[in-house]
Amino acid sequence: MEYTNKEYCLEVWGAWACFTRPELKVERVSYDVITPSAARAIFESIFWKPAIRWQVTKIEVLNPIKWTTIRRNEVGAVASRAPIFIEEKRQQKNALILQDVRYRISAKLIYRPARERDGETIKEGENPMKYYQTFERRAGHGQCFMQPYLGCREFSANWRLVDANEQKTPAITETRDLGIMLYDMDFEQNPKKPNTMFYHTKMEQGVIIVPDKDSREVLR
Amino acid sequence: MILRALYDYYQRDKDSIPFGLQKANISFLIVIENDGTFCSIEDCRQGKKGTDFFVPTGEHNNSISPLLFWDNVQYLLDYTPDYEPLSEVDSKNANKVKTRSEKIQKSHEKHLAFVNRCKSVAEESGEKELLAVSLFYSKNQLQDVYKDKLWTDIKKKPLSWLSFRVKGKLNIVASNTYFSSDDYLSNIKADDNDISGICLITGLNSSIARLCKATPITGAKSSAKLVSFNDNSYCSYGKEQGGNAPISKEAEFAFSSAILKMLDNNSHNKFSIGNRTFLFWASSQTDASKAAEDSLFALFGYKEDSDDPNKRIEFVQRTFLSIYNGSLPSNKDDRFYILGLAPNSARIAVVYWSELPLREFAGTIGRHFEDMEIVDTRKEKKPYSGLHAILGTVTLSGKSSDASPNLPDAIVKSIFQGTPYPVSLYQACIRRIRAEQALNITRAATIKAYLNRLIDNNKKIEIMLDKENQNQGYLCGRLFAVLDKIQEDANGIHSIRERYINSASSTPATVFATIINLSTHHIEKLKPGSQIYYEKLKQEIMSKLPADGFPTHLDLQNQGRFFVGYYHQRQDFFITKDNKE
Repeated sequence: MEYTNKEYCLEVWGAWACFTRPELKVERVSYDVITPSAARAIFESIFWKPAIRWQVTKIEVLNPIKWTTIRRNEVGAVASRAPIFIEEKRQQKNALILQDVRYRISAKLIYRPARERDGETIKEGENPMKYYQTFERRAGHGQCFMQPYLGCREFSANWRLVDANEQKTPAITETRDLGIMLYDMDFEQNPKKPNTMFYHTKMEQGVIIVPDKDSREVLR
Repeated sequence: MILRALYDYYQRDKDSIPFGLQKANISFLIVIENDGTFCSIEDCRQGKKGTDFFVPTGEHNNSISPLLFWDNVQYLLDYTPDYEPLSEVDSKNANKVKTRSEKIQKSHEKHLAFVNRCKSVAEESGEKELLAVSLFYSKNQLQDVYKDKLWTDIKKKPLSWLSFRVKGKLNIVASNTYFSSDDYLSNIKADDNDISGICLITGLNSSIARLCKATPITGAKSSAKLVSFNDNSYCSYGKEQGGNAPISKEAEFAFSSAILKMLDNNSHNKFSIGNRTFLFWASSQTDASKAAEDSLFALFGYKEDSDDPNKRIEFVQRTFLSIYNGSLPSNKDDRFYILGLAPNSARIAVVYWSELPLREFAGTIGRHFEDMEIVDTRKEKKPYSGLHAILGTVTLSGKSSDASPNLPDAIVKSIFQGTPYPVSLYQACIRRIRAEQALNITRAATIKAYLNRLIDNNKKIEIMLDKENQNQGYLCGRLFAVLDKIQEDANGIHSIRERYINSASSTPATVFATIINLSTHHIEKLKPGSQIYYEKLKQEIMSKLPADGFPTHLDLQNQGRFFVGYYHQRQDFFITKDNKE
């Protein structure tokens, strides 16, 4: 069966966002722009099945990058069977987060053929088209499994599907080298203790081209 | 970006500490012969602090962690204050006796660990100096050390650092060149227990640092680190410590050393406000970048009584102006970084981070000066537009450290980014003026700067008295200043200002009728020449007020304009007085 993976575009925006840097995640500091990992999560919260995976291809930054600092009471213990008595475990932590973000993220819906999925019985009528149509329907109606979020669950994202032919807001005109950023966690190699994958992010006139997961540019 | 920028700074710096070493402040040295015999104790303190030496890096943690050929008296010579015999009362207490013996036991273990480490490294290296120390320990000479006359000084300071010196040599044993050699360094760079991974600073596959070096700032514990995962709740995906954020050992050393260098006592790359520490550096070594760093330090980092503060401020302004208009050339890619840190027990939080192109940064600083500039007729012109001056003027005690903790961050942000000043600053300023009935130059300048940066339709406030300004608050302020001056010339007292300034600035209609009446009595006491002059001035101001009379109520912004008008008019009297004389 011949098919090409379709690319979809979403516009997401929110009041706050925090794409936490791994090295400064105790007292949170955000990256300057959305990570491919967070972008993938937004698509997955709209539609995901084991038969597909999302590959982020492009990120466009539509709002200028603004920072703000907030101080929050957080919990300093791991949740488990035993209850956490907050009076003993309360910690006040600082967070340096982004304000008023707006991105246009594009991703390909990649169909995973039967041979990649182990131990699944493949039903009749299985074809990539039905997944494309499901996503288009859901995104068009505004349906999602859970509310998409910008890096941290508490920063909910508003989103809409962007039509390929519509007039698009231009991205900001900033060209900057953003250094090495988190690409994603490598769940395929080791689902329980995944390793981090990094990539070198370059923003040209507000547009970041995200390399493919298996390409050479992704450092792992 | 933050760690990457620090890493680049370390690489660019010619004076940076080489990999594997750190600066340590050593107070005492044990002098030994080549064969290990103990000679004496040498005191290398200068005043209260010791001398700085470059020694192999290391840190104490809660378990037994001996350093290499330098350490405190517990590890080096097996002594802690617990060794002193217990008092009569305490020796009857069984618990205390038990804890004392446990502590003594622990101290023994630590000392043994130190000795063993020194011996094994000395053997591996084959260096004579290091072997001399190893021989020193095998000769059991601790009792001789305890008999030395400087021993009591060491006992008084059990936390000070000690090391060794072989008699006749210039450098101490811990600074031996072996510790900069490739043999030794390759051992620490690639341990067999190391995990390797991609470093998130350099992008190369290398051994990952398990822990980062402590970089304490004022207000934090001495073990405070920027990057640390010291609790289970901070770890994810089953990773521990450094595995959560893989950073190679070289990169970790680079950025920690860069931070430590900038936090040093005599560093020109930091300034602190309250408990916030701000570090700043430029991305290159061009003249413009160096000038920018020096100027920023001169502007914010100076201590109160240094030489001629005004020359310094002028120099700073000229430097930033020349960077901005290009007379001091800078590359297009030159950037200026500012990192704001706050302590939080054993952690350091990042509260501010900005990287701006150098020219833009120079421009925004220049704008701050422009906005704060106001007419100044003081005899002693101390600088008034610095961060400490602004914060000091909105606190009760006049000290910048008493300002509410969010205020310095917000002001720094608005200065460095050119955004409007924080509302809380403006409100605090007005509050202090009302509380003290005093309006000094810094307060007037702050109000002017705040109002001028707001985006609205009001006319911008000028540096000097602006006779064309029709704003109600401004005019009421000018009038109030005239009435105040009339009373001052007539009676020599300021009771109008003391009693009426608060109500005149918020509800002019209720108050101005009264004080104008009072002022007619005052004006009778003046010479005819002055009478005419003041009458004309009053007419000029009141003619600009609307026919319905004084405004019943001034909102907070117009109250600010009232105070600025008052200030401008008063300064104008001093200027004209000077001109007459």
